[in-house]
Amino acid sequence: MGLPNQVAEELRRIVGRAAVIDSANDLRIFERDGSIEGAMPDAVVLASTTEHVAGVIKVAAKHKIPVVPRGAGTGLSGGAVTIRGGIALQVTRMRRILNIDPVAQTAIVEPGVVNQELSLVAAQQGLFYAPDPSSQKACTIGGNAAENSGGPHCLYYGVTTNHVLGMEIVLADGSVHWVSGDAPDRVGLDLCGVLVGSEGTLCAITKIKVRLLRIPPSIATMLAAFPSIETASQAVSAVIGHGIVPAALEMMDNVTVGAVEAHYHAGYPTDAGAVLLVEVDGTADTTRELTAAIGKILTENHGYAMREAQTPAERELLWAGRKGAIGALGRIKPNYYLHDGVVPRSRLPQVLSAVGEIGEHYKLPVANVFHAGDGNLHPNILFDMRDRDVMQQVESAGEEMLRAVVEMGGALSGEHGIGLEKSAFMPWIYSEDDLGAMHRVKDVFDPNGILNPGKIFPDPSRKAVHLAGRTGLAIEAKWW
Amino acid sequence: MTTPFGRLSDDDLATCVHCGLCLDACPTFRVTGLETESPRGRIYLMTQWKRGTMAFDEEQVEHIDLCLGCRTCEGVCPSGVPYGRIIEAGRADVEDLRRASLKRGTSRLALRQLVGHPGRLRAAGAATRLAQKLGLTSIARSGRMLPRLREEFRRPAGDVAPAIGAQKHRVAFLVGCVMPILYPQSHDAAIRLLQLAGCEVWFPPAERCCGALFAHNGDLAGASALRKANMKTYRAGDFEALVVDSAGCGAHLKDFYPELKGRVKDLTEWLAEIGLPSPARDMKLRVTYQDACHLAHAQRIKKQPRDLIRSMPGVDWVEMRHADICCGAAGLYSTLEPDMSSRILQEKLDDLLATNADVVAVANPGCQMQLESGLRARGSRMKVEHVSELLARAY
Amino acid sequence: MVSTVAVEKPSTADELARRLHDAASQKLAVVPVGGGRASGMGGAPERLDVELHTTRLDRVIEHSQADMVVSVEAGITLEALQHELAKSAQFLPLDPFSSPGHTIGGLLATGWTGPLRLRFGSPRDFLIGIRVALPDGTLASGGGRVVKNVSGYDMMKLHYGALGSLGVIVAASFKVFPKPLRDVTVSSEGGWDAADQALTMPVAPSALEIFSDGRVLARYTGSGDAVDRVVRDLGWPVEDHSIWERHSGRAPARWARIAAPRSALRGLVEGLPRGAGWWASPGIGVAHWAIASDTPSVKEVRARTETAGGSLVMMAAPDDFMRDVGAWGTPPPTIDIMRRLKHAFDPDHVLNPGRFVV
Repeated sequence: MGLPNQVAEELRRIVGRAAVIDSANDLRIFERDGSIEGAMPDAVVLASTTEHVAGVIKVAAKHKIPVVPRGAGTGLSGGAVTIRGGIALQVTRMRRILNIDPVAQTAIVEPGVVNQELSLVAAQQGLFYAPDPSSQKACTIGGNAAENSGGPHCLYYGVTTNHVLGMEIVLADGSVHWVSGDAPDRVGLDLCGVLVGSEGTLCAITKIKVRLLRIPPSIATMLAAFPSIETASQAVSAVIGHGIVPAALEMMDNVTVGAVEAHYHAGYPTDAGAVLLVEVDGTADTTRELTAAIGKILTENHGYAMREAQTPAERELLWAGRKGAIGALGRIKPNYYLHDGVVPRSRLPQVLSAVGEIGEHYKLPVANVFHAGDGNLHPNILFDMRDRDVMQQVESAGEEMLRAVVEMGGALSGEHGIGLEKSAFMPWIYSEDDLGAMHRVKDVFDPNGILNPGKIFPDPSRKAVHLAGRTGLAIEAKWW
Repeated sequence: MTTPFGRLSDDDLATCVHCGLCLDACPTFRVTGLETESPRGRIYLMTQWKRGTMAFDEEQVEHIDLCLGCRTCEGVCPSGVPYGRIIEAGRADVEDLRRASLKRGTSRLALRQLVGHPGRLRAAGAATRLAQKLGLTSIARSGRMLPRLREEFRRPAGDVAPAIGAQKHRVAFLVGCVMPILYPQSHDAAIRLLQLAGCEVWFPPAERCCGALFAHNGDLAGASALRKANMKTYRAGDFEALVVDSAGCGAHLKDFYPELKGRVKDLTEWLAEIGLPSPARDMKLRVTYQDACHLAHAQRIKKQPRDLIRSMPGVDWVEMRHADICCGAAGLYSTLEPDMSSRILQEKLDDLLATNADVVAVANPGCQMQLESGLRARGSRMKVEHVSELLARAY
Repeated sequence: MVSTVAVEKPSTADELARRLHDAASQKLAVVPVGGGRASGMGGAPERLDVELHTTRLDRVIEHSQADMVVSVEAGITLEALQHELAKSAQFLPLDPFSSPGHTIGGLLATGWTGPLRLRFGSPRDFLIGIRVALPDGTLASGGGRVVKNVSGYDMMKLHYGALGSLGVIVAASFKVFPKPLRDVTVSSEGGWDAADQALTMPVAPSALEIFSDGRVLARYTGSGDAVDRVVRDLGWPVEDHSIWERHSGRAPARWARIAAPRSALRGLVEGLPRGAGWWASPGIGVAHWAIASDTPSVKEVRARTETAGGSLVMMAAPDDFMRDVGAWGTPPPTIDIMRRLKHAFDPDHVLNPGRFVV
């Protein structure tokens, strides 16, 4: 382990002495992100400029050392974990908002800018940045772009890729490029579109130009309780079936609500089987009309204890509860294992009962909190890592849940990324040819495989897929 | 202690789910961008130490030392990690294992010998005042400059100040150790506000330092001794609330004095509860407010000071960006870790100056000194006042 | 060069992939053909041996009404798809010019869009799955049938607008939308001022078009009260919906698309030769120019557009005109990366040689 001294010296010459950390004990602290698996980097390098990033990658390329860009390390799929060692390239010091153009409604930011910070600053111009992952208080826009992050409001507004106009990137050879920009319909291949969501395996991101939206004049946030997850899921389908696409449509089950209420005291009904959080925005006319329509639909579908946030503070509190939900589960058990599979919305009740059964089978508590409008699940398996025996159970349960998702025509990840955690399952939804095409892209951008190796693509040496024979499951299920 | 890391609780440590929501709330992470200088990183480090999965490395204690103890992270932590408790226990555990350092040793000695004994601290205050009068101001070279000291706070005769108008409440008032020397005017204003609000104010005789500075620096034994001594005094008195006008002391009293449960009140908390009479004067001031960490995060009091200030006639209120992020003072931190303290302060000053306020109100002496010295260095005319002083302007 | 062009009309994706592979293994040049509505786009093919038509791949594979997701084969026309979706009061918000007759595959390959892009974005935003035949005979899929998906690379973005240069799209899945509760179109003769006014109303229009004669069309969709109020506040006369059908039928014999940052579009359009016919979507940053002037005028407009950070792409023109001005303009600075991608997918350059930038 450890970088050769000569490499460490080269890195120090680029970023400065204090910006290279290679003492073993300190490196331990960087072994994880928000997911459960960890692996130590051989060095942490703090970049402050694009030139730093390019210089570090050049050194890594020369010595064929893995480089893993890292923002706040809040990711939930192991994307920032240095599974093959190498350099954790920390961009948290690149946290300047370089420009906000209120006329063009765009911003240019460095990758370490915290998601919520951008919206706070843009608010002074009446604008906001739409993608709002639940970790937005800490996660960085660079990380968001790498993972193509979502968030509750993506139901209406779309995910990160729909809001990134262009990026400055550093390729695996250390060369710096701009991809895309302000104008629509650019000539040539949409490199920016391919790079967003590539999880640090194709490039490092050093600047991001994003679209900002006008803050809607009126926002209405509603809360409704339901006797069960099933009834709440039906209500979700009913709302969308009526031709209404709310800005956000979120669900929490009883377990989650209990944990959230304990911290936030947001007034979530703890006796409900499930709770829906619905938000609509637009003009006052729009929100009035839609709230009335949605209220009626929810009531018809067994919704009760309905209430609307009366003040911005109340609204914020409701959202704080939702966005802090996963962390709040720490009140039940110290660790969670969380998948984020997506199913066609109409399959929600089925997949959730499957999730429940799997939890019972393994005798593991499961808390569900998710983006119901998108069919994007977040089943959290709760456990205590100190209990060594439980780990295998947890992994098996997670895998079975994901299999249920895939069998219902779903996808492995809606917004967290494949990363380390789900790479072994990629053959469930993609054939060898599908993955082969993706690999051609990887080889073009990173022929030596130094950028975030061990992610996205299944690594046969690491973990056997337990469910042999299910290859190409989605294709067999007549996707096309 | 016989077991290494015997004070750290594994169950406390295990409440951290490693989600990272705390990172950007941590002032030291914000300026360094380093996981090792974040709450999540520190908890991870202490967890490895506690569980013996990583050898104790004295160099790494720096990460613990660099924690401001501001507890901003607690406010944003959805898992309810008791960070304040963890870092205090961790610091105490670490003190057992690390080699004595001159700087820390001196600060601990100074704490025990000076702060723990009101008489000695007063004497030191007198010496400093004298030095300032003589122009020997280089005395405060170590981190931040001390404010120009005034005549120190004096208790009223009989240790009681009567209510102005009808008496509605009887409260005890924490005189404390640092406030009466550094900011007697804040105490004066606080007491006047209490009197105006109908309180008879009692000053517990023989009261000593509450012990906050001891606990925050890993000297739990010193803190316990002070609690014992103080409780003797408090038990002898009769009062509805123990009103405190320095946030650090208030937080400590609430955490560390179970016997006083529910009766310790920050000045703003208490005034918001009982109400102030109608103000007599217009202020015509642009005002902003810097949260004290030990008020906003440890005591979760953010609304009351703002509401009180905004209710005063003629206040042009402006909310500062990142008002609830620490200014870098953090008790003795600015002396022990001057570099980091100053980096954090610079970010704070940028946000502060952007408000164009005439006055920034504070609720703790440490914040006040830190902001005063920072603003002075930047050549700003913005005034730093305790909330009590600001409110008293209206009466 | 005169040669016989083979015309292949496979009826399954597998068959199409086989035909493509057959041609590629003989290094024959293949031009994929859909509805032919956008065939004027791009440079003239350097070689042409096989026309590979997708028109017999015209099935709706699955329309899940409740999930608002549809999967189709690439050769289905936009109209046939809309007809299917309309049965459940849903639609694909895509209204390209030179309609009717576009195939879905063709629209994805060319990236052609229309006025509704203002509100709904382009297929780049609602294309959720894709299946592509590659020159080596494999069929490679990306994405899926769910509305939110980050499983693997975004292969939809790779092929969208790539003019079939990396593979032939054989199937696609889309997120579809409910028919709006209210849908009203109004018009004005007020030119740019009117356009600005409509764009900055509290309710944003779903489509807004301005024409060289100063006419403005604004389409508002959404909840009844909100649409009615904005229409009332604007006070413009209401138009019949058929006006959009006529609008999307536009297909000049010689035309170009000017795409630029929104703030630069007006200046560019006003700099067109005197009396030029054009229409524009100022909220998107796209204008279409029906060219009546000579090639130097086009080059000059292109130069100004590129300086402003945009592009001028020829949509159709006679061969000699096209050759003179060039279909695409200055290659992007990242052209080398694009060439490497092209080489990785189509090493023998059999797909659409000469038509695209790579």
